[in-house]
Amino acid sequence: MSESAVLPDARSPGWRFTPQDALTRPRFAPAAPPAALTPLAGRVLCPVGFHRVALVNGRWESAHALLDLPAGIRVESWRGEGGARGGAPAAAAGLGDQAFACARDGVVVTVAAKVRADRPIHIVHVADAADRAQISHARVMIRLERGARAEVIEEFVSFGEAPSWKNVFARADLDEDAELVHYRVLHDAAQGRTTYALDAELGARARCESFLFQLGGAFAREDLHARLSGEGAQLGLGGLSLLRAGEVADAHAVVEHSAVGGRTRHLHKAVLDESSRFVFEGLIHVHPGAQKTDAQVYNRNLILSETARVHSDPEFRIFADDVSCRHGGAIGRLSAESLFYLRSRGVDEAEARRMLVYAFGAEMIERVGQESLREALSAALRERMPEGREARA
Amino acid sequence: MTNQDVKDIAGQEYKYGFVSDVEADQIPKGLSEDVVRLISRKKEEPSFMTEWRLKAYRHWLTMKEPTWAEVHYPKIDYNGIIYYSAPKPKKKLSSMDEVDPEVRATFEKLGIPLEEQKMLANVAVDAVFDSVSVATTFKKTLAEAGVIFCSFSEAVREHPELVEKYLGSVVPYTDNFFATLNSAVFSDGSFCYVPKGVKCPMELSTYFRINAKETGQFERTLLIADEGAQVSYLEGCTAPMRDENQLHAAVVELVAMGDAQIKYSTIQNWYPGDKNGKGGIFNFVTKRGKCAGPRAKISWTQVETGSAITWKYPSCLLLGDESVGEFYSVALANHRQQADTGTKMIHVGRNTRSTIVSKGISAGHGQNSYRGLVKIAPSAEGARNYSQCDSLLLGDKCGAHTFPSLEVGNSSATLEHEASTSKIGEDQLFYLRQRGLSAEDAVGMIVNGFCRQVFNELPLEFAVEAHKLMNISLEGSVG
Repeated sequence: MSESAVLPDARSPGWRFTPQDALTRPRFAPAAPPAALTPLAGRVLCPVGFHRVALVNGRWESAHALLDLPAGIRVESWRGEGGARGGAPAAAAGLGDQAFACARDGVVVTVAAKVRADRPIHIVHVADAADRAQISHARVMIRLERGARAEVIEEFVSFGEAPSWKNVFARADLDEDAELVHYRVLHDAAQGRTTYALDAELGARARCESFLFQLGGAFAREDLHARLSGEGAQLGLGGLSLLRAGEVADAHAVVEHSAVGGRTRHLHKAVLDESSRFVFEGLIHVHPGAQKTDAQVYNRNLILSETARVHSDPEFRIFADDVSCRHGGAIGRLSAESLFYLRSRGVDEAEARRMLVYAFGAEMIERVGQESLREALSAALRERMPEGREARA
Repeated sequence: MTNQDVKDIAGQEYKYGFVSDVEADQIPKGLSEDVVRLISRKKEEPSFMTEWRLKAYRHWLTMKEPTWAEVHYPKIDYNGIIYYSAPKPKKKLSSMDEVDPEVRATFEKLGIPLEEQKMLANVAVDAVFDSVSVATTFKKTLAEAGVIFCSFSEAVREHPELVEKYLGSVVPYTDNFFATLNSAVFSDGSFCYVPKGVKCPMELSTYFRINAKETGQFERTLLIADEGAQVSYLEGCTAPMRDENQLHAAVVELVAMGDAQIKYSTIQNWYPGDKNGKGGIFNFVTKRGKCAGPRAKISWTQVETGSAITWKYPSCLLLGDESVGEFYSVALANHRQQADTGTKMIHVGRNTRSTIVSKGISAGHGQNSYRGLVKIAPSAEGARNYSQCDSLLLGDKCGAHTFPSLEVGNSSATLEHEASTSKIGEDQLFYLRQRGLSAEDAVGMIVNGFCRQVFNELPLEFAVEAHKLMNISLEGSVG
């Protein structure tokens, strides 16, 4: 099978508003292992105290692994044919099926029934492209048995001068009463592209929180597909995308409620500067019989420049009557009143703007329970702020 | 063959075409360039109209029927439709007793005055309420103000320069499948021109209701308010409309010049089919207004309770600086009805504003979708939009869907969108029941409260009827 991804027609649903240029140019060749390993120290955001594994150009890299796992938790390589372990994409979302089929390696995380992981499991996706544009595929399986609990942090980084593209498919299977906290931290270099598809299935009373923190990269697309198929499952989705220059963020999510009493909270925020672009599509599909569904989808965007563009599309398909569903979208710039208030208190304009942008983004970061990660993200948010750059210059 | 022979042949009339120039009531089924030409000829249209229809027809051949709407229906055979039939005079009934009792009961419930009931049911009316004389009085009042209000065919004959100038200026013949089909074959419709600075002396609704008549399945309306003019127009009526044509593809174009205001209200209560979804009208309508000058305002209000399928997105193109677009909608889908409706607000001018309030009600097996787009062009400095779409679900077999899109190309724009979907609260029902209301009345009261924001935008007499209409349309969906 060809290892360079095939993009869907630019007019097909889910791709109509996506600028595909970053994925079509240059031509991406299948990635080879890098000539020499780049050390991760200082290049990843998560502290070293976590259980860590890394995929470099789509291959498990033992030299980067820091594993000291207690009983009941396994973190293994997913080498060879993906199908042997099952877990193929249930719904063809984005480029997930291609990632699944083309990947040669990946990570499988298994947590046995009633086991609670002691420390977060940190998966680093590294693209290392020295001299030519390349694409790597990888797959991730997170399997939590009944009543298990784990925190999984996937971090995406890119090294090297040449453009690189990581295409990842992840599957999360949560049995009854399982609980997963799942963060994706994306801070690619200016040449990095990431496409990510998540296929999650939640059993009865299972809880899953899955958040994206996007801090850099030329292009990032997410296709999340979650099925709440057990009674009383709870899902939290969301993200914070900090965009500047010509960066593109493309966030798509489909949540299917097919059982009674499911609950979804979805909030994605974006801060857009310069000529960046953000596309949001969030669909809640309530199947017949999924009564007492309680779902909310919100997308809020803060635009800081004249040339940034946003497309926002929250959607509902509801086939049950006893539900409470809300969605909302807001697009705007910094409120003149708030700025005026801060200035009247003696805060200078640049600082006032910085405070307001920080406050807007901090709402998402404060949801991170892991303290060291929260602090790292908070520092990254300050770093990424447009006024922050100006102030330093 | 000599050159002369060739010339002779070339000079002949095309003899395999429609030689049936006899005054036939109908032409054969199907659509071709000859049919389009024939329609144009029968209506004695000037050549620019014929050419325009033909361009539309040729373009239509290259188009595909859209499938993105959340509606399902059997494939339409466009060659199985008769595209022209002269309006046939209906049989006059001698008294109200001959009218279908079901229709009569509905009239009673709506509270339509007896004389108007007779008009609507095509019963001969007495001299006291002679529609012709009333209409003539209205016509006189309008003429004194300089307002042109007539059928589309009349406008083509009497005011071809206005028609040529504005026809297709908002909905071009290339716009979409159904609008293009309409452009090629439209039968008739209304035309209205309000000159500079004139405030139309009456609600055109009043006039329209008196003059309600067959306009056919491909209706076209063109309404122009010149600078500073004001007009309020209401189409349709609360009375149930039975029609033999299953497919309706109408086009409505509004043009508001600087400082002009147009208020366009629709009450649509066409036959929705029976409880099992048999029969019923397919209502595929293209409605669009253009705020061409500064401070122009276009306001759409619609109450959609009829039709088996509604596919309709009244839109506003806000070109003039500080122009305003509004959309207020109530859409009800009961039994097997499907409604996919919403609006588009395209902000181009600076400081343009738009408001969207959409209320969808689904009952029985009804499927109701709100589909909207708010687009802020890079030039729309300071644009503002507020959208709210709420859905109410009655019963567990119906569906409510919302597809709002926001596209922003100017950072100074502010957009807000809120949507909610829920069923009637048990506590609300319980409260009303324990006050002695029947379940049906309680639901009616809650639904009318839900729709109030939109009903308030309707001309007064219709607001009252819309309220009653909602109760009638919900009959049988409770309990």
